Amino acid sequence: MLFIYFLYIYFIIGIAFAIWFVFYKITRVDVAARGTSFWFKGLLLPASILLWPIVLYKLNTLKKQYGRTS
Amino acid sequence: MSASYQPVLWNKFKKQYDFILWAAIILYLFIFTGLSVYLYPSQNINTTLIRAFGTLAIVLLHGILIIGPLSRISNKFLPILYNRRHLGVSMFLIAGTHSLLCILQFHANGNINPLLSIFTSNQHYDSFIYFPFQTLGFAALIILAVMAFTSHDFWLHFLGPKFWKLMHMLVYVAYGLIILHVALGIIQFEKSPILVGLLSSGLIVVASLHLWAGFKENKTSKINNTLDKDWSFVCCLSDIEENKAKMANVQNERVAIFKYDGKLSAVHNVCKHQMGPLGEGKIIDGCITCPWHGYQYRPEDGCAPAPFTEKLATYQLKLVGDKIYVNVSPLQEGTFVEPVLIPAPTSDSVTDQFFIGWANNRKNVFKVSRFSAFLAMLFIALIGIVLSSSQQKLSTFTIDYNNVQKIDGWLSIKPVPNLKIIDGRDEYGNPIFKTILLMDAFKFGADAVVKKVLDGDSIKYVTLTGYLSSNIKACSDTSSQECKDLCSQCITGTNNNQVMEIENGRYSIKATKAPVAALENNITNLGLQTLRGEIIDPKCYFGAMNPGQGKPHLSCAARCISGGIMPVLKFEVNKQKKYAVLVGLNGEKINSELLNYIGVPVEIKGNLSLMDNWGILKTDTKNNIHIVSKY
Repeated sequence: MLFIYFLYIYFIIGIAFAIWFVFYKITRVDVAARGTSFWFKGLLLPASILLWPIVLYKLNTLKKQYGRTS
Repeated sequence: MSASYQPVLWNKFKKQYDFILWAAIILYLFIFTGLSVYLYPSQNINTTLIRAFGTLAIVLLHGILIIGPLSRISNKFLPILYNRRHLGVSMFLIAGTHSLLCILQFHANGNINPLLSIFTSNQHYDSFIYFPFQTLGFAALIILAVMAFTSHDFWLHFLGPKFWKLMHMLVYVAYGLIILHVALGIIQFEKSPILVGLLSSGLIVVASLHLWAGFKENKTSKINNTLDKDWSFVCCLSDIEENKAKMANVQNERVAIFKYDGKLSAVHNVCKHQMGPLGEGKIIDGCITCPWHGYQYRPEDGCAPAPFTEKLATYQLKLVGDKIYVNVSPLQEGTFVEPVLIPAPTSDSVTDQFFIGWANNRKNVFKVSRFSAFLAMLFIALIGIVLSSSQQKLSTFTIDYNNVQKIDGWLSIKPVPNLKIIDGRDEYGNPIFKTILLMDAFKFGADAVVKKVLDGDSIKYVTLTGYLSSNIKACSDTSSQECKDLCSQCITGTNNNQVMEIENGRYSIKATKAPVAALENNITNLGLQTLRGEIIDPKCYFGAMNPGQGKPHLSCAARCISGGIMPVLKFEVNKQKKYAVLVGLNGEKINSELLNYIGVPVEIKGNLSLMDNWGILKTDTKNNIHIVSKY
């Protein structure tokens, strides 16, 4: 059951992270995402939830590379 | 390209592509399910759908895997490559439906979390043929999910082309897992050579095309003849067609040298979008155009035209007579290099096959596409017919959940929950008794319900409402050829062995007046026996699911038995199938001790007795049961 609890925690964090990333952070990391539709952002949610540790790592890399990611 | 993201960049070609793709998908599902329902009426509809979606996902995955090498071998296949992304996402949706149906059928409604059940119901991790194949399918699904969810240019740019490509190359890992999932799963149950033949043919085609494309590419890579340490020979001028390129391997980097408008320019061969081979592309509107998705770059400086921002590394060229040399040191991405002028330019107008989705050369492509679409439809229909008609004939027992039945009989919990009914009378007018095994809804035994109704009594006459298993095509003569054909792998006989699912727990059982005096279970002892067969859960086997035996059903049987449904040994005596309920030496439940022996060939030593129409095998699970062969 530990494995299942781990999965639940992973996905709960993933959902919270994905909402923050897709609806707030995304326009600061890619200018082409500015002014995009709700449907486009919705399309990015599943990957953000599933791969949130990689996305977080990539955000940190960008931050180190360019300072503030804007 | 990278100006502003859209959910999907639709164009006329993509719409046609998706229309044909989904028409083919619907056609396949319609043919497979329609034929299965007609040919195997007792097959559980969920099983039919699981097989329809599963086989379709594999067919589409093969298509996805061969498109890449096919388009490297001939550019006639480029239109299929152009929208491969939609094909991949569609395949994931179909594979996901297959997985969801499997989880609902085999793992849900049991006594543990369905996700945990995938990994724990079958625990033969140390065996090859009994390996829990569903875990392999699950791992493949995770890979396919990652690929489908990141199939947008945003992820390509955000994660970087190299990482993104690496992640999407995992499709080959997923393919390997899926091949093993099928080989260790359904192929262990189905006897038809067609399934094995088709799967191995697919594997051979995928491997051969990749080798062929790789060999072709390798030939290009070997062109490496240096003039001195800074300049490497590429080819002669006449080797390059107008508006096209020659690819070369320069110090382990791929370079594409383009000839256009009487000039020569060289850029890094790898497109910034999905690492497509630019050298297989063409100059359109003065720009290098990638053959995969139409990304464009100026040949002089490797920059994408505004407002796009992609840049390629450029290379210096030298023309000595007819021979073209490239400088081995790449210049920084986007560096302008003066094109080399060709003394006598040739400007033939080339009207060859090239496809980038949005260009004006659609007419010819659509002519090809229409024929290809017809061939694809024909192919997928044939595959659907072959796969659906080559399934194994199943048991003709089924539980009709639309038909609630009321049965009167003696309810008892010993040795397992059962209802003894009068099933006719003999020539002297004495009642002939028959025992029906009882179980609760979903994957649970009826012990708790029956115990509550009996309320301390050992037996009680009741009216029970529930769903009864029955043979929809019982054989009157079990030795007849028709019966043998019908039931080559299934239950023979009439409605002799039946099970019943109680409709609504204890509210479906009402005590009533018995027509004759109360009975105790009439048990005939047959002595110590060693029996070889398979442990099944009788609810699924006798009709709740079809097929309800063998490796594909192993996990579900483990869940049912773990949930309290009585384990039954299916064995053969003189080619007649017999069934014995398994209990401990003192008649106690041994469900949890048997979980590692379900769905595989086992040998059990124990004391066999007969309770009306069911065998009862009392055994010691510690010493008298073992798997026949485990490798």
